[in-house]
Amino acid sequence: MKTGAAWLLRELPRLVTTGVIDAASAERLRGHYQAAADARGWTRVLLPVGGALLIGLGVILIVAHNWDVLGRAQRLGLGFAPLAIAQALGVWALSQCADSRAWREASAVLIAFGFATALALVGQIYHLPADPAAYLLACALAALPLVYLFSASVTAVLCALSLLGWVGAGRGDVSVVEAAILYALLLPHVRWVLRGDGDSLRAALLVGALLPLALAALLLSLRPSAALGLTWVAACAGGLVQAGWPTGAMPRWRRSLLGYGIVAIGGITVIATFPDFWRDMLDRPWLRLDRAQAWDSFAALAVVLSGLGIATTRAVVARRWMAAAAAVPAAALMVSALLGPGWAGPLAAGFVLYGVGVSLAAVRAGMRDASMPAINAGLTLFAMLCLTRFFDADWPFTVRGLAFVGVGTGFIIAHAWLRRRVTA
Amino acid sequence: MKRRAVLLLFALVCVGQWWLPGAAVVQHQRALRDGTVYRFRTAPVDPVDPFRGRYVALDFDAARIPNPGGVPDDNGRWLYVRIEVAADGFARLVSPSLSRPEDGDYLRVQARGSTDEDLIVELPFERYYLDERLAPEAERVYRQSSRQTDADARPAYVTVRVLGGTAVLDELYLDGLPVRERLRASAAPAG
Repeated sequence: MKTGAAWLLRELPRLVTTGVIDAASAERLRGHYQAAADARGWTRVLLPVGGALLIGLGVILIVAHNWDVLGRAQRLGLGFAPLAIAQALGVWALSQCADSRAWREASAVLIAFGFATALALVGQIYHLPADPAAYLLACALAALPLVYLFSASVTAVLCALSLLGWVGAGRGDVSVVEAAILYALLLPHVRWVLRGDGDSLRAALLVGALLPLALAALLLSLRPSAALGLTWVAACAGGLVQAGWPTGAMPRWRRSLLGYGIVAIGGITVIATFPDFWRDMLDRPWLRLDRAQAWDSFAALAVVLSGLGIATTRAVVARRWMAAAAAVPAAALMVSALLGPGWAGPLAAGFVLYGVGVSLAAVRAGMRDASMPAINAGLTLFAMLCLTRFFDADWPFTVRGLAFVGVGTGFIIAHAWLRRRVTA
Repeated sequence: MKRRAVLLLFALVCVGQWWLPGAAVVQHQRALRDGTVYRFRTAPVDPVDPFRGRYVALDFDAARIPNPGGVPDDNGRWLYVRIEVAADGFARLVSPSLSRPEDGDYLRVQARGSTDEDLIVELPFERYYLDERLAPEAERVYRQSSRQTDADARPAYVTVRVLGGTAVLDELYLDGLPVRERLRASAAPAG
């Protein structure tokens, strides 16, 4: 069935040009069978790549045992052997089966792990001091050319993971500019994959994996300030929602932008309904930052806020109000820098209204477009707003208890009713 | 043609991937072969590294250097220190400075703060990798031995070979024996 689906997809252009079917029918058939073909393609790639990952991790564990029975030269031989074997496999993959994505992906993963193993073993044999940041950066830089030579998306994700480890282990020594430059080195590969087949599962997984890794690394590399970091996250999340907002036919990878953006906006909205959160923010911790040292963090924030401003203006002009509303948390955090401590309560109340408004608007849009995901997103945000009141000590236990029972019952009834309305 | 170019680039990448660990091997192997041997008193404890396996972390008396004053002690600052051999035959570090000494053996160390009397530094050989079964055993034997000896005379030391600022830890000694030999002796049935 799945092999037939791949064959049929390959045949469609010929069937259209020979007049057997029209273009609209071809498009419908492509939409229907694409998922099956993707699943088949990824099973082919996933198994060898998964095997290569397990082999690589296994070799690192075997080396980590520290074989006392072997001499220094023998252990060096053992440490470099996986790299030599993996590189030989890489030569074979590039020269004999360059068209096989499975071989290319698996070879690149094995070479990346081979290098990591060799470097770790040299450190072990000569009892070198630990420098995890330098080690992970070396592993990322060694893996980077493999991403392009082998067109290897899994290695790109491993590279991004190593870079995140480098930023995390660097204990604030890595600036946001350095982190951004190194992540930007992966962008040509992402662009190449998206241009090749932007609607493929590979593109969706690549964007879905790289995006949170890059954003987490950039967040870690910002100079320490809760307000600055949170404003940056809110601005990025707003930008992701607007970049991923459905406008006609949407490739799969854009859905992950929307998904991450909605989760982050939802999380910030829920936290921002607590006055204590705003009391911390209104204390203006970022004004105490050394602006000369933290200039790159402020510059990163300015870049993201500018992008969000442009995207929001476009959304307003196009009357995409829900997308434009995603800029509210970042705007509120920015404005809070100008407000005094007495604004904590009104800001928290404002975010309760914002959260309820967005959830109701999502439910309404879901009903209009017969979209259960939109309805579920709206109801989930509403439920989260209610659930977090469980920890709100300003309300008596009995009031909270009765409110929970009432809202929970209403939630179940509303969901069942909405589901019937949408699927009817 | 394109395939040939890709293979050529891959060959360059392979060379690069061998160069980094290979250069480290050559540099440290040369220090092991030609370097001057110093002994540093130490105390081992037993942690683990996810990539390199289990090791004994070494706590050195020599990591506390008499503070001459005027030397920056901010965390992570790189300093150069001269190596001297004291009357008891063990190495000690002196004369911390920001510039590389022109003669004599020296180490490049990282400052980790200071007290009124001492500048605290991190030495470039604070780990001794051991078999996962032996590392905790080494710590146990050290503790047992240190309870039986004078508190100031630690029963453990390491030999380090130093050549042109490159230091390579050669061996860890417990009670005067190489650690593996000492552990074999303690594992052998008494009598």
